[in-house]
Amino acid sequence: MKKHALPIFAILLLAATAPGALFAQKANVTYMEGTANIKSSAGSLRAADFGSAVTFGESVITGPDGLVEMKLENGSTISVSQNSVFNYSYTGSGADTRPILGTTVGKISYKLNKAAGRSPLIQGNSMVAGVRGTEFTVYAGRDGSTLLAVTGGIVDVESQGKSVELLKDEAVEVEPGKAPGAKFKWLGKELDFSSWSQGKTDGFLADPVAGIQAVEAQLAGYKTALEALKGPYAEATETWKKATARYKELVAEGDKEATKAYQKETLFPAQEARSVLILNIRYHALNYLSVRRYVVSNMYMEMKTRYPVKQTPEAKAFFARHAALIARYEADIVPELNKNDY
Amino acid sequence: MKKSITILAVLVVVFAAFLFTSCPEVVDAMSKKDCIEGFVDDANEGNWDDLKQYMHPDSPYYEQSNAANMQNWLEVYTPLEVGNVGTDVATATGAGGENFIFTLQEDSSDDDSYKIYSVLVDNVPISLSVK
Repeated sequence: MKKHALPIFAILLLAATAPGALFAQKANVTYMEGTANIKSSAGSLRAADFGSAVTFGESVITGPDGLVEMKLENGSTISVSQNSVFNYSYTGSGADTRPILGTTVGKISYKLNKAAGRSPLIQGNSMVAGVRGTEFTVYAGRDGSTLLAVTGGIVDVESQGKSVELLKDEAVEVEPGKAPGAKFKWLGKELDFSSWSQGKTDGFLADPVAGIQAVEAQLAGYKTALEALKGPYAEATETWKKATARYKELVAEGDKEATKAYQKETLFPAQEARSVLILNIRYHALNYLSVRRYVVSNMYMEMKTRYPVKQTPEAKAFFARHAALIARYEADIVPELNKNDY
Repeated sequence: MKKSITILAVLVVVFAAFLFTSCPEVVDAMSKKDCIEGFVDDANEGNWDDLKQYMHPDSPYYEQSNAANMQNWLEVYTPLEVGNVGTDVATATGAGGENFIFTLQEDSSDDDSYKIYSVLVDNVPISLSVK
C-alpha cells in the first residue's frame, strides 16, 4: 500500500495546493466529426452531437473517423481523437473533490485554463498527473502504456511512487506497473500516435507474457490501494452503525432538540466519512475495470486472433495468465462494482 | 370435433405468441408521483440497488447513488412517508419526523420521465460533498 498510495496522495496534495483550474461539472461538445458516442454511468450509449453535455461518470468514445472537442465552463478544452476513450469522473469529497480527466484509449489533447479553485487529476492507464494550468496530450497505448507530452505549463507525472516534472516540449512514457521512464524533448512536433501505438502492440506481441505481467503489476497496485481502504471502511461503518442506533434512540425518546443536535454533530459526519470511503473504494475498482476492459481485453483479442486453436507454448502461458487475471478480477473487484459498470 | 378443437387451440397459442412478440414494448414515462412513490417504496423495502433509477442523470448525486451510499444516507430515516407532490418539489417524512424535500426534473433521455435531482434532509443535502 505504502509504495503505491503515498505518492498518489502526495501528487494529490501537490495538485491541491497548486493554482489550478476550476472545473464545472459539464463538458459541452463544441465540435465533432464522424462517429462518437457518450456512454452514461448507467451503461447506455447516446450519439454525441454539437451541444451535447458530458457529465461526471460519463465517457466519450470515438470511432475510426470520430473527433470530439469539448469545452468546460472555464474555457478549458478537451479534444478526443479518433479511436479514443475519454473518461470524466471525480474523486474525493467536499473540499477534496477533484475532477478526473482520463485517457483510457487513444489520443486526447487538453488545454486547461488557469483559474481559482481545484486542479484536475489527469489519469492514464499507467500513471496519474497533476497539472498547473497547462496544455498537453496524453497517448494511451493498447498495451497499457501512457505517453504524456507537454506543450505549455508544468505537468507532474507519477507512477509506482516515482514522479517526473515535465516542462514545455518535454514528454515521458510510462509503461504499466513501472515508474515513469526518462523524460525527453519532443520539440513541439506532433507525435505520430499511430506509429507509437503500433510499436507498443508489436512490443506486446514479441513477448505477450511479459506484456500481461506488466499489466498485472499495474492492477495489483489498484487492488492494494483498494484493500488498504477496507480497514478504514470497516471502522467508518462501525461508527455509522453506532451513530444510527443512537439517533434512533434519541428519536424514540422524543427530545427533538437533542435529536437535531446529534444529527448535525454526529450522524451527518458519520455518513459523510463513510460515503467518502465508499467513493474512494469505487474509484480504485473502476480503475481496475478500465484497464481490464481496454487493455487486457485488447491483449486477449490480439492473441486470440493469432492463436484461435493451435497455440504455441508462449501463447498457452499468456492465456493461462489471462484466465488467472480474470478470476482475480471476478473475485476481488466485481463485488465492489455496480451491475451497470460492467 | 376433436380435430377442430386442436386446431383452435393451436391458433389461440399462435395468436397469443404473435401478440406478445410482435408488438413493441410500451414503456410509460415515470410521472412525478410514480418517481417519489417508487423511490420511497424501494427505500422502505431496503432495495438500495434500485434507487439509482429514480435519480436524474444530471443530478450531482447521480454518480454517488450506488446501493452502499443510498443505504448509508437513508436507512436511518426509514420508513419514509410520501407527503405532497408538487410541480417541481415533492416532500416526504422520515421515521423520526425528518423533513425530506425532493426536487424533480424531466429526463429527456428516458421517455421524458421525471427523476429526482436533489434530496434535502432537514434542509441539508443527503451528501455533504454535494454543494
